[in-house]
Amino acid sequence: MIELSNVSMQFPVPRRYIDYMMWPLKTRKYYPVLKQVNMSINEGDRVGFLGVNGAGKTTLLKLIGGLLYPSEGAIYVNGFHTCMQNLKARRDVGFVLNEERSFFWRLTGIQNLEFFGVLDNLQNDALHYRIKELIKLVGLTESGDRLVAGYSSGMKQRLAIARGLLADPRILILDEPTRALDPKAVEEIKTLISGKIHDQTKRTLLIATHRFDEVEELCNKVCIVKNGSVIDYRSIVELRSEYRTIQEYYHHIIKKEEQDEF
Amino acid sequence: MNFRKIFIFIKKDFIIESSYKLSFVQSMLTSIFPIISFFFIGKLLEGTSSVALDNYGGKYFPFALIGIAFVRYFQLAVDTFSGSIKRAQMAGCLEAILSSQTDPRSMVVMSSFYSFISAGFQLIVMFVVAFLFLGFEFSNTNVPATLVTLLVSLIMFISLGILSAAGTVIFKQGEPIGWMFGVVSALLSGAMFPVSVMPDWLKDIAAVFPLTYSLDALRLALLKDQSILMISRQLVIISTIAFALFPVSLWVFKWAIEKGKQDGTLMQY
Repeated sequence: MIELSNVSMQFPVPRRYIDYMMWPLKTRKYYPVLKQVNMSINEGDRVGFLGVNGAGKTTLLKLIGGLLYPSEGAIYVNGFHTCMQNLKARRDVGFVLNEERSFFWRLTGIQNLEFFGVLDNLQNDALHYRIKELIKLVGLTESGDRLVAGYSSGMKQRLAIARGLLADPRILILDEPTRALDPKAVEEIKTLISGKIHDQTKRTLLIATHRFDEVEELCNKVCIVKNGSVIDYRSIVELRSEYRTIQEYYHHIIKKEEQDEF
Repeated sequence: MNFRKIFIFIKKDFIIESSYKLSFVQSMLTSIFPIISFFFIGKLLEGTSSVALDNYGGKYFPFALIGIAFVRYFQLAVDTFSGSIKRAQMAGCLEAILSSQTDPRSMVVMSSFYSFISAGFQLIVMFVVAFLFLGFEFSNTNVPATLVTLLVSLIMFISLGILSAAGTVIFKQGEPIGWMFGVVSALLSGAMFPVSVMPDWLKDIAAVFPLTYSLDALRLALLKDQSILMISRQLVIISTIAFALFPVSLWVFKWAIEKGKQDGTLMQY
């Protein structure tokens, strides 16, 4: 269970050296990234976060994952406060970063998993068994012993999913899991997420994406983020009564929001 | 922090480091070439007497060797933590590491172990080369005093290193502690020449830098067989700084990480 209550996030406006020199005592300016977000996510939910670049999707997921602390408000993951009880809150969260470079390229896929597995407190035999299991799950059995430097983008993404699952977390956060992948790799990753990761374990999945088909196939709830605000959050079953597709729903909500703003 | 985690960091860094074969050879040569230069400078100064050097056995080469070798080693202790943060930021691994189930403070300490082993090996190679080929002698060495001085000095410089890493998290580039140690302290603390040859006002500044006391104690223990009791003044100063600074540095580092998480600047470099 994830609870967000009045969560706001602001980032400081970067200052240049000249600013520090000329006005050393001037207070720092901040710009808002998320504004007063309230939402709760139930166990087993698969939530797709939709929104344009810079809307605040990744920030929201990083806040839930305890990688960032909110400027205001509180986030509880399975009852643990993400700032006050950061390690405990993160215990049940796996993060699949979209950063290809988040691996050590001069290590093999298995060596990378071994490194991150030890950091996740997995012990000897359990770790090796888990790595074997995950490598098979993500379809890297043949290439686990190859250096990550020689992996394709799709393979690195599979490895990132395996890393996110190392500690067998109940919540898996995926930040644009199919970004920069070719259509075949996109299909493979989607099958992996829906078939093997969710259906077999009923994990909670939080997926930031730009792809409507991904939300359609992988999620049971949709959250639309615009200019740092959650403007709509509902189940796909619910929105089906009004809209034919996720795309139609998304454009309608965005348009409505713009009209309201105007 | 546990041994399995320390081992996995060492293993990871060893595999990465050994995959760059030329870099390993270069770093070895970089540690040996300067001592050869100072061996010949020592030759040049042979026969000239210096009161300042008399306190340390009277010869320039052994004096300079200890200065170069240990400043290099302590410099590493200061730089390695911020270096590992910078490398992880630039390689894009920092976020992945910080999203694991390990405390960031343990992480930054463990990420430096390989550097200490590797630099310790280079330190030993420098003294072995000096002993075998350049006439350096251990006949006047007090081993317990040397080891104790090295240990407390390392704790002190590791603390400065962790502060420097906190500076890297906050300031990104141009953090002041590493610079202060590398440029100012190495110059004024008597790495290449005795502090006593400097004018009085510079001696006063040198007295502020902990490196001055570490080098002084190491030289007296290695070259003049002075015991722990005889170098107790220096050891008390170094130990006081070390044991006061260590918990402070860990607290500041934790604060820096939390500040980075609050400001969203942890991954910026």
